[in-house]
Amino acid sequence: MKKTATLWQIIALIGALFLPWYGVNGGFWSFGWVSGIFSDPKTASAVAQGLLHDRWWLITALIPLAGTGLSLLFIKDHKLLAKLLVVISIAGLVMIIAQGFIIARTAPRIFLDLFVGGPGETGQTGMGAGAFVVLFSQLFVLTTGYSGMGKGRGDAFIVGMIGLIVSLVAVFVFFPVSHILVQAFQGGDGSPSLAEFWSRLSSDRIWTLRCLVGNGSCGPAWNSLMLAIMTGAGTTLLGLAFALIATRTGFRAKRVLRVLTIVPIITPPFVIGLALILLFGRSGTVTELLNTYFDVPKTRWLYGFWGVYLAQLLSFTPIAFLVLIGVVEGVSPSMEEASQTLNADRWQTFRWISFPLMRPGLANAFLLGFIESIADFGNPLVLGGNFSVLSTEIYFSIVGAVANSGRAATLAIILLSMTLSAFLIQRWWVGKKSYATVTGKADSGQHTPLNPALRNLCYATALPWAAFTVVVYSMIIFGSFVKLWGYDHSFTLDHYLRAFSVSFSDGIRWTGVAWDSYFTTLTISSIAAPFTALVGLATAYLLVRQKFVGKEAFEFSTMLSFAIPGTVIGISYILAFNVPPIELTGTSIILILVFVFRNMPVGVRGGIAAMSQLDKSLDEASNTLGANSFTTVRRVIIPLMGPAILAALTYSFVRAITSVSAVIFLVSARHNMATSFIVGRVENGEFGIAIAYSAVLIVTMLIVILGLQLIIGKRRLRREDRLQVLSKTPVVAR
Amino acid sequence: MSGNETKGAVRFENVVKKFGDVVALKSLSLDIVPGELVTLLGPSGCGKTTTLRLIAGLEAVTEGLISIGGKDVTHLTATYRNVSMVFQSYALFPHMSVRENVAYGLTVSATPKKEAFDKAEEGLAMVGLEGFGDRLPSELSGGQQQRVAVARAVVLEPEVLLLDEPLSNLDAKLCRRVREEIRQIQQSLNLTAVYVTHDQEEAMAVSDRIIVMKNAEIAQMGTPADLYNEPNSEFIADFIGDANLVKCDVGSITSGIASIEVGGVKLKVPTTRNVPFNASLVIRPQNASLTAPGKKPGIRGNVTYAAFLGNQIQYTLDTDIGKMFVVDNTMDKTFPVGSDIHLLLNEKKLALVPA
Ligand SMILES: Nc1ncnc2c1ncn2[C@@H]1O[C@H](COP(=O)(O)OP(=O)(O)OP(=O)(O)O)[C@@H](O)[C@H]1O
Ligand SMILES: [Mg+2]
Repeated sequence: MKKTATLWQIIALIGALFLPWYGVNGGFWSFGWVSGIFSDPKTASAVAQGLLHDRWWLITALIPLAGTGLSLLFIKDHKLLAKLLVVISIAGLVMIIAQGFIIARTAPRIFLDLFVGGPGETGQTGMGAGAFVVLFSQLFVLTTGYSGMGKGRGDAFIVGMIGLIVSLVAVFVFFPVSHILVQAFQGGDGSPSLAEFWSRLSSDRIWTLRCLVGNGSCGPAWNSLMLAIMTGAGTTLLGLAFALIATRTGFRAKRVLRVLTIVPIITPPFVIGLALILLFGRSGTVTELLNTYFDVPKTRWLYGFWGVYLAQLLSFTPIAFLVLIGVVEGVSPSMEEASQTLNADRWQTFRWISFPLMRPGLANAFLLGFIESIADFGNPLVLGGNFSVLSTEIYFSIVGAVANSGRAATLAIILLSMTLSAFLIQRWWVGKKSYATVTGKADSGQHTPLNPALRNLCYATALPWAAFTVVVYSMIIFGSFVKLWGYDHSFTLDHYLRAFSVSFSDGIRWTGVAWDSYFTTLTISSIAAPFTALVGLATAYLLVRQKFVGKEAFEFSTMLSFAIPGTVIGISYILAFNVPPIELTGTSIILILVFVFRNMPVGVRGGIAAMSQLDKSLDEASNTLGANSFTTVRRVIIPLMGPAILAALTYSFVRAITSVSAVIFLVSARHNMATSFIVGRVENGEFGIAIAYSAVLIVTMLIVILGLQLIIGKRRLRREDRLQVLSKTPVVAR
Repeated sequence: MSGNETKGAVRFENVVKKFGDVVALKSLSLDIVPGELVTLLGPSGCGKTTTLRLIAGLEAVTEGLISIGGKDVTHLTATYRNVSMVFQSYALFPHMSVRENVAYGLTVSATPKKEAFDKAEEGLAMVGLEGFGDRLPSELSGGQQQRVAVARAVVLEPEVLLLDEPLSNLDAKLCRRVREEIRQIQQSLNLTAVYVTHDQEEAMAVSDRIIVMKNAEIAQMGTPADLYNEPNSEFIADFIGDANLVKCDVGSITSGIASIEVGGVKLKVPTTRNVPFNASLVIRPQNASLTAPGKKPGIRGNVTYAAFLGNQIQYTLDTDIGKMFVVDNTMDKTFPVGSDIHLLLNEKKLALVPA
């Protein structure tokens, strides 16, 4: 323990002495701060700030750091040392955090008002590298001391990991989201006001039911809810049909089916909306055809509920399919065979055995569809028309003519309560069963084929839908090559040229308008992906393999950010990280962070599934052979988790590239993302370039996925023989 | 440091283990002597695996103390205890070769790779698997995998070797061979070993001592012969070997001999108690014999079933003291189904247990 704690103590000291305490203007990696590490009041380290630049409170906050250092030097008794480290480093963390809130540059901050009663005279800007290094190393001194007290079975690595993840989730999920609450309760004069909140919350504009009685449109709350329920149900049914076809029929083109269902996942969300406009909009192809040949009047029916619903079904059915195929495959053939030997016919087997076994999976798929729909921002933005939903309302409350962050926050709370309720209902209904996924146990035996009626039903729903998807995607390709959709269908490369032209006149110049955001997107996504995978899988490891107090709450809170819609996260990040102590808006870091913590649950889920396939006795064997948990993770778990790690990487990469809702608030002129760039074009009516850009994005992601898939594919081959070994052993389900 | 005579000793002092509300062990105390092989035996769910995992350090005690080799290890995790374990599922690392598997424990404790591999090779030789080092575990048969698991555990020269139902995946013949091998290795290395099984025959065959557990407690411990000949309860009598249990009245006890009466027959049976108590008489199937009625005073009965097995005849009888199961190894005379007989009991081999 002492060695580990000393190491962290030294890192903390380095952070306090030799790293700039505040955020540096040119960015940390430019190292412009090196020369002024003591002398320049902007870039000085904490100790220098305190001694030379009148920021005395930093010295005060660092006293506990000296305390832990002295304890490490002079206290010999193990137990006493551990206790001292814990107590003193808690004090240190509290003091550093408190000074960050109390002494701030700008008002109004809750803490500022409480303690100083006005903007601090001396003031300080957002924390920088030094502060974060000190905070994290203090945290690890704390966890090391805590494990030294014999807590967490004395395993410093595990306790440290739990401490780290809990703090990260607290800072980057709970802290920002709590700002929404504060904002929603803020009255016009900035003071908290329950009445104000209530009047916003109960506003007739949000809850009106005029679309049912009389005419007019309903409030966004009802719209969102209704849309989400229908989308959840629709995607689940379609996904189930696809999954049944893929696993239980002799359908030949299964691979095509798989590809068809993967493609929408890598499609930026509003692209489908665009394609639908090109097909069914007022001057869309289908509309024109119907008008010409059947005299069907051209209407704007697409802009509203039905358009959004159609787009969401197209976008989210693949997700349901991916969830359900695992579930359908997971129903052990031996159960079905058992049922048949008990004289059940195929329908009875499906009705009484397979279906009930799939029910938790269905609930899960529904929940996913529900949450994706309610959080969807791109499709309603493009197709919504007068049909307003919460996520777009939130956006317009912020960027509209009069920014009304109180209203935005209130809407966000409504949205959040809806997703959370769905989440809780699902958890309560399905209970813990949801994690009893495929065990990796190789089951011989055959899946029962569907009975003919059911099979035809599946074909009848899924195949036309698949055909429709093909048409929609052809439209996207086609649309990117024509001059002006619906009016001038002559071939052109203009859109691609405008977006992605390169000039070689004097050296390579990326003259296309899209290059900037394209490179930013790729960079940020590829930085975010490994972190997402890391945090997600680490969390999964803790959840599956470790026992600790408060695990339930831990699990819940890590899953929580999944239920928080992107728009809500976006706003909360602006509210939270626009002012000291953590000032991140306008940087690329905030984009990376938002991706990591928004997509983390995906990594967690994937990790949990993969981890439960690994027999727990493998870890235990490693432990009894004298390996500590860190070595066990490095030498046993990670090598066996290869495919799961790559899957998590791929998925978080793709999600980072395609997400709009959270990003749209957080981009800046310097760090613009592809999706928000495209949304901008769409709002300007420049469909051609928007579609061309989307096509390029899709191709980019396909290349990355295929590249990763090659590696995964290789791994699979070795996994075959591995599974056999595992299959001999009863797999320990959690 | 602990002296040599305590190396490998395991001691539980009032160990309690709870999983939430489930009490898996209520106040267990036991002492395992260095170099002995102790078996934990008992019905499913009685806490055998839990006990073993507590020794390994894979579970933390709820209350109580555990020491290994005279050193308190209650708060040490598996990593820091000098014990190794053979898992029921073998738990071989599928992505490492057999050699890497066996060398794993050495390499993680910073033994140079060369030395670790040499030792691994020795370990493999010991279990008769020379030349298998380069294979993957998936390329071995079940019995071979099992032996790799044993080799991996013993190359570390642990103080205590733990085995959790190591033979349950093997067929009966292989099972017998491997358990003899395990016993040999254990004796030649003079390891302390704790062995979990629910097969009483296996337990009797390999153990120096058996600890029989029931409902999260120790029911009885002792050598296989002690348990068989002097069970302390109906449960043990029934669990270790076959037994007919007959309620009986204890008249008087003088110097270790109880006078009892069953089915109208007076018997003198050895006992450790000295005051009369409510007792059951334990009659092993081979300790009763059949005679034709009339000759000697016996318990009257009637043959309801007879099975000729070649080296013995098994009888099921309806007698005055209830249904009895009797094995005749002498095969002097056969009694067909339906014959009236008298049952004679071998007094010296009978035991009394509290009813
Ligand atoms: N992780 C756990 N959580 C909750 N209860 C547990 C856990 N592990 C064991 N138990 C309970 O503790 C009791 C003892 O379990 P243990 O595994 O020691 O039984 P066992 O004697 O090894 O049985 P078997 O012969 O079936 O393997 C059982 O009632 C079991 O249900
Ligand atoms: Mg067991």
